[in-house]
Amino acid sequence: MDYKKLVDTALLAGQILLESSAETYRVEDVMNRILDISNLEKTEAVALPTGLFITLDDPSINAITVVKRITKRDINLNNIAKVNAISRGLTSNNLTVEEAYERLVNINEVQYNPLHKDIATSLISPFFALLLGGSFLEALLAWVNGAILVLSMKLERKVNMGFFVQNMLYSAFVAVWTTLLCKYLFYNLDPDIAITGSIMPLVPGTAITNAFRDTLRGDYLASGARAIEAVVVALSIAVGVALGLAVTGGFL
Amino acid sequence: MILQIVSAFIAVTAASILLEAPKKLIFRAGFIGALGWGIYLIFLDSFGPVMSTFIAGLVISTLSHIFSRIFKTPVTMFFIPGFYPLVPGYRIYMAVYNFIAGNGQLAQNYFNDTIKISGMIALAIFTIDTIFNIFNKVKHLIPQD
Repeated sequence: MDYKKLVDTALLAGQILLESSAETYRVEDVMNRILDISNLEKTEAVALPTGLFITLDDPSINAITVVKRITKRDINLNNIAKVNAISRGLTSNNLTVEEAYERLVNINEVQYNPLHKDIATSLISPFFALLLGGSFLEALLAWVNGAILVLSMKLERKVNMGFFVQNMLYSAFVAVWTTLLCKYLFYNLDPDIAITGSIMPLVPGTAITNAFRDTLRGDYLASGARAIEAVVVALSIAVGVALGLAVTGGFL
Repeated sequence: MILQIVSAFIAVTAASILLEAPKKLIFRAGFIGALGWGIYLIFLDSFGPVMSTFIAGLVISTLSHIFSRIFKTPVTMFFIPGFYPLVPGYRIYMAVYNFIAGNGQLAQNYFNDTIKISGMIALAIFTIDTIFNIFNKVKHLIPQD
């Protein structure tokens, strides 16, 4: 068996999972399952929020150890499902290591028509505004803001300014223009609900919940990292909104 | 109430598209999210947000585990979109916002709520995970013929 290829496969699977925000225990579990098909004496896989470590050792071979630094991170549920299916195929011998590696390399498929995805993204804001007790008009306002969010995400991908600045600029812009609109045009609308609905796709609720899930599983390092991530993301949004409200005089 | 549940359904379905959930699962995730939100609303008046989050969380996790066994995908596919309306993203934002605005007391309250609610969601997931794990183990112990 080509152990080097096997380690590469496990590493790639772990990397895709970690970059798609899978739970830390799942990343380690999948890597360990893939390594286990080598039947070597010592297989070890460690996943941290920022990196992966794999080692494979046996009296019959030279030890193989690889380290991978992970910097990118967003949520992609489809990749998690696919890596899971591939690792199941490997462990049940339905896939060879080469085939699995090939599939992992070509994992990024375009699932949704970009236009549909944009529409769906913009729709999150108005319906959260409704969930927060907003009226239809406020939801409509939040929908316009959702469309602005989609544009700002596109812009971010082009200029790559980092999530902190992007969140801040977007929420500042939304805060300014929603407040002005409610001040001078629609007197009876509550700008707070429209603004809060608009930032709902950005707020780190899932991150803080995952932090607690990792804590309960004993992954204290991962949970600390996620908790800090959540606070920083919340900070970027809150600073933006506070800035926007300060400009329009609605703050303090 | 109906409007709220329909909104939750659409919001969760839209969110699962943003999270790149597999195409065939988005409406099932939306269903779980809407059901969870409905249960949260039912218990909200009598039990308060923290306890109703826990009850809704129990239902969402149970259903997610059942769905993940039926459709043979990892259970996260349903957890992350399903809990989307319940997770305290709004509260943590309000906590930090009030902190910046200098309303220390209000910030403290929102922060407390954030910790309680996310802790409750994690606890609900953990409880159901453990139950399903034990269930699996027991199933393996019984000899099958």
